[in-house]
Amino acid sequence: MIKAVIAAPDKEMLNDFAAELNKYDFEIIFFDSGSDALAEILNNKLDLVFVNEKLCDMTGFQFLEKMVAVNPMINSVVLSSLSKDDFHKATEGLGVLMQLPLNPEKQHVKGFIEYFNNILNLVKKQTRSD
Amino acid sequence: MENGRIAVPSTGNGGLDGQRAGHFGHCDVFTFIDVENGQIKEVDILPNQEHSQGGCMVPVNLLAKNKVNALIVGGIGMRPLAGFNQVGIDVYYDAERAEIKPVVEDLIAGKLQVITSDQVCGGGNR
Repeated sequence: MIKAVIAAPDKEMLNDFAAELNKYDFEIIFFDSGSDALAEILNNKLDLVFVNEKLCDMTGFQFLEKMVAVNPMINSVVLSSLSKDDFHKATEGLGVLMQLPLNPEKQHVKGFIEYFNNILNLVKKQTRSD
Repeated sequence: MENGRIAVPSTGNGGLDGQRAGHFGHCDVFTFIDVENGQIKEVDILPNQEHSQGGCMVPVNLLAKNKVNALIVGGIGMRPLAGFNQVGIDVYYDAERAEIKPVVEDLIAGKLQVITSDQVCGGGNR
Protein backbone atom coordinates (compact mmCIF):
# COMPACT_ATOMS: atom_id res chain seq x y z
CA MET A 1 0.00 0.00 0.00
CA ILE A 2 1.34 3.41 -1.04
CA LYS A 3 0.03 6.25 1.11
CA ALA A 4 -0.33 9.40 -0.99
CA VAL A 5 -1.75 12.90 -0.74
CA ILE A 6 -3.36 14.73 -3.64
CA ALA A 7 -3.19 18.48 -3.04
CA ALA A 8 -5.35 20.26 -5.61
CA PRO A 9 -8.05 22.94 -5.60
CA ASP A 10 -10.65 20.81 -7.43
CA LYS A 11 -11.17 17.34 -5.99
CA GLU A 12 -13.99 16.46 -8.38
CA MET A 13 -11.75 16.94 -11.40
CA LEU A 14 -9.29 14.37 -10.06
CA ASN A 15 -11.70 11.67 -8.92
CA ASP A 16 -10.95 9.50 -11.96
CA PHE A 17 -7.22 9.99 -11.44
CA ALA A 18 -7.53 8.88 -7.81
CA ALA A 19 -9.66 5.89 -8.82
CA GLU A 20 -6.99 4.83 -11.31
CA LEU A 21 -4.29 5.09 -8.63
CA ASN A 22 -6.42 2.98 -6.30
CA LYS A 23 -6.12 0.13 -8.80
CA TYR A 24 -2.38 0.13 -8.08
CA ASP A 25 -2.94 -0.15 -4.31
CA PHE A 26 -2.68 3.55 -3.49
CA GLU A 27 -4.45 5.02 -0.47
CA ILE A 28 -5.32 8.62 -1.37
CA ILE A 29 -6.11 11.57 0.89
CA PHE A 30 -7.30 14.83 -0.74
CA PHE A 31 -6.48 18.38 0.39
CA ASP A 32 -7.28 21.64 -1.35
CA SER A 33 -4.91 23.77 0.72
CA GLY A 34 -1.16 23.52 1.03
CA SER A 35 -1.22 24.21 4.75
CA ASP A 36 -3.60 21.31 5.44
CA ALA A 37 -1.52 18.98 3.27
CA LEU A 38 1.65 20.06 5.11
CA ALA A 39 -0.03 19.32 8.44
CA GLU A 40 -0.80 15.81 7.20
CA ILE A 41 2.83 15.35 6.14
CA LEU A 42 4.05 16.49 9.55
CA ASN A 43 1.73 14.20 11.47
CA ASN A 44 1.55 11.04 9.39
CA LYS A 45 3.86 8.80 7.41
CA LEU A 46 3.37 9.32 3.67
CA ASP A 47 5.11 7.93 0.60
CA LEU A 48 4.11 10.34 -2.12
CA VAL A 49 2.49 13.68 -2.87
CA PHE A 50 0.70 14.73 -6.05
CA VAL A 51 0.38 18.50 -6.06
CA ASN A 52 -1.36 20.86 -8.45
CA GLU A 53 0.72 23.84 -9.60
CA LYS A 54 -1.81 26.10 -7.88
CA LEU A 55 -3.44 25.52 -4.48
CA CYS A 56 -5.96 27.72 -2.72
CA ASP A 57 -3.37 29.21 -0.35
CA MET A 58 -0.01 28.91 -2.19
CA THR A 59 1.50 27.66 -5.42
CA GLY A 60 2.37 24.00 -5.73
CA PHE A 61 6.04 24.96 -5.99
CA GLN A 62 5.95 26.97 -2.77
CA PHE A 63 4.25 23.98 -1.17
CA LEU A 64 7.09 21.70 -2.31
CA GLU A 65 9.73 24.03 -0.86
CA LYS A 66 7.97 23.85 2.50
CA MET A 67 7.49 20.08 2.23
CA VAL A 68 11.15 19.43 1.40
CA ALA A 69 12.16 21.48 4.45
CA VAL A 70 10.06 19.35 6.82
CA ASN A 71 10.40 15.96 5.12
CA PRO A 72 12.76 15.57 2.15
CA MET A 73 12.17 11.82 1.98
CA ILE A 74 8.67 12.10 0.48
CA ASN A 75 8.54 11.81 -3.31
CA SER A 76 6.48 14.25 -5.32
CA VAL A 77 4.69 14.63 -8.65
CA VAL A 78 3.42 17.99 -9.93
CA LEU A 79 0.25 18.39 -11.99
CA SER A 80 1.18 21.30 -14.20
CA SER A 81 0.54 22.92 -17.57
CA LEU A 82 4.00 24.51 -17.74
CA SER A 83 6.29 23.88 -20.70
CA LYS A 84 9.16 21.46 -20.14
CA ASP A 85 11.70 24.30 -19.75
CA ASP A 86 9.52 26.38 -17.45
CA PHE A 87 8.73 23.32 -15.36
CA HIS A 88 12.43 22.56 -14.99
CA LYS A 89 13.09 26.13 -13.82
CA ALA A 90 10.17 26.03 -11.39
CA THR A 91 11.16 22.73 -9.80
CA GLU A 92 14.97 22.76 -10.00
CA GLY A 93 16.46 21.36 -6.81
CA LEU A 94 13.14 20.12 -5.45
CA GLY A 95 13.69 16.56 -6.66
CA VAL A 96 10.30 16.19 -8.35
CA LEU A 97 9.78 12.74 -9.84
CA MET A 98 7.61 13.74 -12.74
CA GLN A 99 5.33 16.33 -14.32
CA LEU A 100 1.81 15.19 -15.14
CA PRO A 101 -0.96 17.18 -16.84
CA LEU A 102 -3.52 19.04 -14.73
CA ASN A 103 -6.04 16.26 -15.27
CA PRO A 104 -4.02 13.04 -15.74
CA GLU A 105 -5.57 10.17 -17.65
CA LYS A 106 -5.18 6.42 -17.47
CA GLN A 107 -2.06 6.27 -19.67
CA HIS A 108 -0.35 8.96 -17.55
CA VAL A 109 -0.96 6.90 -14.44
CA LYS A 110 0.50 3.82 -16.12
CA GLY A 111 3.64 5.73 -17.16
CA PHE A 112 4.02 7.18 -13.70
CA ILE A 113 3.67 3.80 -11.98
CA GLU A 114 6.43 2.33 -14.15
CA TYR A 115 8.76 5.24 -13.30
CA PHE A 116 7.87 5.19 -9.60
CA ASN A 117 8.53 1.45 -9.37
CA ASN A 118 11.95 2.03 -10.95
CA ILE A 119 12.81 4.58 -8.22
CA LEU A 120 11.54 2.23 -5.49
CA ASN A 121 13.63 -0.61 -6.92
CA LEU A 122 16.79 1.55 -6.76
CA VAL A 123 16.12 2.19 -3.07
CA LYS A 124 15.38 -1.52 -2.47
CA LYS A 125 18.70 -2.44 -4.13
CA GLN A 126 20.47 -0.26 -1.54
CA THR A 127 18.54 -1.89 1.28
CA ARG A 128 19.35 -5.39 0.03
CA SER A 129 23.08 -4.57 -0.15
CA ASP A 130 23.14 -3.46 3.52
CA MET B 1 37.95 18.13 10.83
CA GLU B 2 39.85 15.87 13.20
CA ASN B 3 38.22 12.54 12.41
CA GLY B 4 35.66 11.25 9.95
CA ARG B 5 34.94 10.37 6.33
CA ILE B 6 34.73 12.99 3.59
CA ALA B 7 33.00 12.26 0.27
CA VAL B 8 33.77 14.17 -2.93
CA PRO B 9 31.67 13.61 -6.09
CA SER B 10 34.29 12.89 -8.75
CA THR B 11 34.72 12.36 -12.48
CA GLY B 12 36.35 9.31 -14.06
CA ASN B 13 38.24 7.19 -11.56
CA GLY B 14 38.32 9.85 -8.84
CA GLY B 15 41.03 9.66 -6.20
CA LEU B 16 42.81 12.39 -4.22
CA ASP B 17 44.56 13.69 -7.35
CA GLY B 18 41.38 13.47 -9.44
CA GLN B 19 38.77 15.98 -10.53
CA ARG B 20 35.50 16.94 -8.88
CA ALA B 21 32.14 16.42 -10.61
CA GLY B 22 29.92 19.48 -10.95
CA HIS B 23 26.65 17.68 -10.24
CA PHE B 24 26.88 15.35 -7.28
CA GLY B 25 23.99 13.13 -8.34
CA HIS B 26 25.47 12.46 -11.78
CA CYS B 27 29.10 11.93 -10.72
CA ASP B 28 30.98 8.82 -11.92
CA VAL B 29 32.36 7.89 -8.51
CA PHE B 30 32.58 9.21 -4.97
CA THR B 31 36.08 9.65 -3.60
CA PHE B 32 36.10 8.84 0.13
CA ILE B 33 38.81 10.37 2.29
CA ASP B 34 39.15 8.99 5.81
CA VAL B 35 40.63 11.47 8.26
CA GLU B 36 42.27 10.58 11.58
CA ASN B 37 43.73 13.15 13.94
CA GLY B 38 43.51 15.79 11.23
CA GLN B 39 45.51 13.71 8.72
CA ILE B 40 44.43 11.82 5.60
CA LYS B 41 44.54 8.16 6.59
CA GLU B 42 43.02 6.39 3.58
CA VAL B 43 41.41 7.11 0.21
CA ASP B 44 38.73 4.87 -1.32
CA ILE B 45 36.49 5.00 -4.37
CA LEU B 46 32.80 4.10 -4.54
CA PRO B 47 31.00 3.97 -7.90
CA ASN B 48 27.87 6.11 -8.02
CA GLN B 49 24.49 4.46 -8.56
CA GLU B 50 22.01 5.08 -11.35
CA HIS B 51 20.52 8.55 -11.06
CA SER B 52 16.97 9.24 -12.22
CA GLN B 53 14.98 12.45 -12.14
CA GLY B 54 13.60 12.85 -8.64
CA GLY B 55 15.77 10.05 -7.28
CA CYS B 56 17.66 12.46 -5.00
CA MET B 57 17.46 10.20 -2.00
CA VAL B 58 19.45 7.40 -3.70
CA PRO B 59 22.85 9.14 -3.25
CA VAL B 60 21.76 10.37 0.18
CA ASN B 61 21.11 6.80 1.31
CA LEU B 62 24.28 5.56 -0.43
CA LEU B 63 26.55 8.00 1.42
CA ALA B 64 24.76 7.52 4.74
CA LYS B 65 25.15 3.76 4.39
CA ASN B 66 28.88 4.25 3.81
CA LYS B 67 29.22 6.27 7.00
CA VAL B 68 30.13 9.58 5.35
CA ASN B 69 30.31 12.55 7.72
CA ALA B 70 30.96 15.39 5.27
CA LEU B 71 30.28 16.01 1.59
CA ILE B 72 31.91 18.68 -0.60
CA VAL B 73 29.78 19.94 -3.51
CA GLY B 74 29.94 22.58 -6.22
CA GLY B 75 26.15 22.70 -6.32
CA ILE B 76 23.19 20.84 -4.84
CA GLY B 77 19.41 21.07 -4.85
CA MET B 78 17.22 21.92 -1.89
CA ARG B 79 15.77 18.43 -1.53
CA PRO B 80 19.02 16.44 -1.46
CA LEU B 81 20.56 19.05 0.86
CA ALA B 82 17.66 18.60 3.26
CA GLY B 83 18.10 14.83 2.92
CA PHE B 84 21.81 15.00 3.80
CA ASN B 85 21.03 17.23 6.76
CA GLN B 86 18.41 14.74 7.91
CA VAL B 87 20.84 11.80 7.86
CA GLY B 88 23.54 13.83 9.63
CA ILE B 89 25.94 14.52 6.74
CA ASP B 90 27.40 18.05 6.71
CA VAL B 91 27.50 19.57 3.22
CA TYR B 92 30.37 21.93 2.35
CA TYR B 93 30.56 24.20 -0.68
CA ASP B 94 33.27 25.16 -3.14
CA ALA B 95 32.19 26.15 -6.63
CA GLU B 96 35.58 27.38 -7.81
CA ARG B 97 38.14 24.59 -7.77
CA ALA B 98 37.92 21.46 -9.92
CA GLU B 99 40.67 19.56 -8.09
CA ILE B 100 39.82 17.26 -5.21
CA LYS B 101 42.94 17.57 -3.09
CA PRO B 102 42.93 21.32 -2.26
CA VAL B 103 39.26 21.38 -1.21
CA VAL B 104 39.77 18.31 0.99
CA GLU B 105 42.81 19.92 2.61
CA ASP B 106 40.80 23.08 3.21
CA LEU B 107 37.95 21.13 4.80
CA ILE B 108 40.35 19.35 7.13
CA ALA B 109 41.93 22.72 8.02
CA GLY B 110 38.49 24.17 8.78
CA LYS B 111 38.67 26.63 5.90
CA LEU B 112 35.66 25.41 3.90
CA GLN B 113 32.18 26.80 4.52
CA VAL B 114 29.02 24.77 5.07
CA ILE B 115 26.62 25.44 2.19
CA THR B 116 23.88 27.96 2.92
CA SER B 117 20.29 27.93 1.70
CA ASP B 118 20.94 30.77 -0.77
CA GLN B 119 23.62 28.68 -2.48
CA VAL B 120 21.33 25.78 -3.45
CA CYS B 121 20.34 25.25 -7.08
CA GLY B 122 17.06 26.59 -8.34
CA GLY B 123 15.73 28.64 -5.44
CA GLY B 124 15.66 31.87 -7.41
CA ASN B 125 13.17 30.59 -9.96
CA ARG B 126 10.16 30.22 -7.69
